[in-house]
Amino acid sequence: MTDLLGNDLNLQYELLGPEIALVITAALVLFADAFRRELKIGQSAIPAISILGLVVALLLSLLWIDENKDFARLVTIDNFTTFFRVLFIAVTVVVIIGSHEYIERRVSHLGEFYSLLLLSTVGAMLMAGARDLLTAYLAIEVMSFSLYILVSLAKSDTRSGEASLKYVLLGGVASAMLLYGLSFLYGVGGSTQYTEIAAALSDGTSTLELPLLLGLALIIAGLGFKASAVPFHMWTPDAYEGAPIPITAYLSATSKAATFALLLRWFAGPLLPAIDSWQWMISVLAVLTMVIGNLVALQQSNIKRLLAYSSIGQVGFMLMAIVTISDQTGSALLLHLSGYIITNLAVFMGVIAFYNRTGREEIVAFRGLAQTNPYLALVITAGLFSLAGMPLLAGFLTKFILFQSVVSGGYTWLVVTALLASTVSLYYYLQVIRQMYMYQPEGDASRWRLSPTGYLATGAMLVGVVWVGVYAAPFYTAADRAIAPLFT
Amino acid sequence: MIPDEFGRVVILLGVALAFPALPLLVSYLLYLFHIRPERPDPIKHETYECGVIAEGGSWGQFNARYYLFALGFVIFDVEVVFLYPWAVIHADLAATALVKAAIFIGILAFGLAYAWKRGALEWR
Repeated sequence: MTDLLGNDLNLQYELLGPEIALVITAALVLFADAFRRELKIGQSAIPAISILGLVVALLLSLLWIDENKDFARLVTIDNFTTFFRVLFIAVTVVVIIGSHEYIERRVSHLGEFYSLLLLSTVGAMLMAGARDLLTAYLAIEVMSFSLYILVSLAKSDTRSGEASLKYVLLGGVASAMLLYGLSFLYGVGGSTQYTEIAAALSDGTSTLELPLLLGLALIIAGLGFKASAVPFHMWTPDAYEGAPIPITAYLSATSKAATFALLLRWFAGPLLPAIDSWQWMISVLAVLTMVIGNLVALQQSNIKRLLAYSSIGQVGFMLMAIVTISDQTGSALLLHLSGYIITNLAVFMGVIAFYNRTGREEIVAFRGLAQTNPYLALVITAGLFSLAGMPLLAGFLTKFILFQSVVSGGYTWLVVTALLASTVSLYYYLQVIRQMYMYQPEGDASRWRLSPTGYLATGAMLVGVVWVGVYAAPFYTAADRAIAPLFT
Repeated sequence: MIPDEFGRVVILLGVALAFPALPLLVSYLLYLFHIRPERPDPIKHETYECGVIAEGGSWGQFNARYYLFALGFVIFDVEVVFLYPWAVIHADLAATALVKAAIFIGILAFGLAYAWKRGALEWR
């Protein structure tokens, strides 16, 4: 089959197998929940179907390892796409397992919760795979629209609706900026295909300097919002605080990783020839993000807001890899991204388990957790130490490799700033740990246990944090192979 | 000098800005030179909405059900928009086109069934 311009189109639908499987699962979940009484199935069937669909999608995405094909010139299926498909599916599985107890108690729209979670995973996967500006934009919106609704699903909490409204309004503005920027890019490059834009920008005949600069600024602002880079981060703390905690965890993992997948695809692909025009913009963003994110985190008294600012700070570190983009920094970024996600999920799974028991989310509420539940205190401590970058945990190794690759990219001053910001971050992570270990528990001091799913989710993440920290070779190889197709 | 492609966009932008501004400016100039009369009237200053008299403030609240019905309508709306061109040429298309259209209608039917089951079509 050919398109209107006469290009041959490859319509192998099995290339989109994982996405199709997840969409069908999402529909099934929605259907099963709506007709739960007629079908005589229990509440637990809904997450079970979701996980089954995710496992099928995982197996389908593994079929395409070391392939390099495209679907209808819209989506690339290469190792990069496969890497992110597996990552996003894994995150969703962990979030579903870890949130089981929370959802049954506090979210009344089960079918909607799980199906939107699956749909936003589809959007994230397509963001990593897109090879056309419009496909990428639609993928962003599929992910974002699902997230806007998911943030509002904690209906018993008035902050949830407020957070969702702020998120959707600012998200709309960001999308408008991004689209406007893309239209400039289309004007300069003459195509929406990544490869053709790259070719048009690199032949150097373009005299459209100003439109390109405007387009780049708008694109970076739009994506900066999605990645919550300072000064586009204002929605992050509010959305993180108001959302149901599993969704906060999901936001900090998938939505962030998907944005970085897109940034890598764009800035290592179509926008690479214009590197002189955008390199300084991203480095300014990176410095602002890591400094302000980490400094404002110092004042937070709510654990969700603290983790929001800490994740903003982490985005600053990751942006450094975009500044000095190469196959080396790219693979370091992928490694750091996976390490960061495992670490962050470890902390969030711990916080969810804690919230299920106490219903509180202030940092002082963690007092004496080491006595009432030493295991949970250990999980949260390991996660926080890993975020701060302690040796033997995921955060140290991945951060070290990331910083080292940025130095060899010639941006030592960025890394010096990052190291200072990192030191600041240690202070506020230690504040939480201090509450858990140095104080006596207030009120009920009896020991308590997690639910089985709570143990499963926190245990898996704890093992992950240590595993990446001690033996990261498989992750490193995977990141290396994933980044290769972008730089050939 | 013929402006390049983006120069034309700037001209278009200027025209677009001038279009609504010009009548206001002309009206004001006519008033300044006492050519047009100035007779304010409360009815003249009312918001114009298709000739229907506006009731209440613009911050009035509407029942959210209107929104649900409008969304339900979109299902049929989209169906027609896409199926009409398909119906015109489907005789020339391969049999797979029929299957694809069936999948498309299936997705829309699913959306309708879901909305129906959730009570979006009932006025409560």
